[in-house]
Amino acid sequence: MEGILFVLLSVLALGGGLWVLLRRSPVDSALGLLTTMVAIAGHYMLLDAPFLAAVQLIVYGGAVIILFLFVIMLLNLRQDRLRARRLAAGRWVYALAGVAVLFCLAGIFLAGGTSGAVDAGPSGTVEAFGEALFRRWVYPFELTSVLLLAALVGAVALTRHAAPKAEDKA
Amino acid sequence: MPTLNHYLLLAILLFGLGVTGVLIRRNALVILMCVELMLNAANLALVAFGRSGGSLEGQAFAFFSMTVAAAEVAVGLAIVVLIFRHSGSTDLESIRLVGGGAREEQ
Repeated sequence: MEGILFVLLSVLALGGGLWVLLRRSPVDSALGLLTTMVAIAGHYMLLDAPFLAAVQLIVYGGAVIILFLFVIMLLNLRQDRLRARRLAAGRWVYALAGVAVLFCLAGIFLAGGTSGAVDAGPSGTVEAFGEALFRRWVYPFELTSVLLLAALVGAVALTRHAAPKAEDKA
Repeated sequence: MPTLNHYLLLAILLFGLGVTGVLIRRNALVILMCVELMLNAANLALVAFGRSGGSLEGQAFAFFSMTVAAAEVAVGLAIVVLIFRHSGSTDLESIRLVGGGAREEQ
């Protein structure tokens, strides 16, 4: 049962990734990314990490994809221009480079020779994860709030129109 | 039963897809999406390692990496909006502010 689910979710994740790569329209790419995110949330469930699965669905499947779609709609990209030029100029060379990275990673993977069942650990219940998060990782956890605040302020400061200067008003 | 190797293989494939996408696509939005693919592959590997190592640390790492990724997307998309306002497109090859543009004009 788990094996079937693993194969199904992996096919979904990789198919979504290919969809991101190959579709012309950024909207299609965003929907492919959504498929991948949901499939990875399923993988987290298989890995006995239900809290991470929920966070994956809410943060990636919800917030990040919606943000992408919002920006795509906001920018009003012209379809004809998208259709004319989708891929980078020397795309075959670049694609080869990407495949080379893939082979390097696979080589490291084969050389490392990790093995063993994946379910050796304690069950990752939400309760256990909360204990770890609020005891051992409490300082990093609080620091992420500073990071998110900085990102919020940074995004607003970057995108708002320049405020009129004092001499302009006069 | 999927083993650690299966999860690592899937993570490698997803990461390779992300790298290839960053290299071959020219739309800034799609390139950001491919960066997200790579981050997710790394998260999946972290969680699988943590599960097989018998600790919750892999999950904690993945959790923090998700928050960093959310912040990265917010700022990255803000920059894409700025680029679009500046040049009227999200095509990264049409943006040559340093060096390359001057050579083409000659």
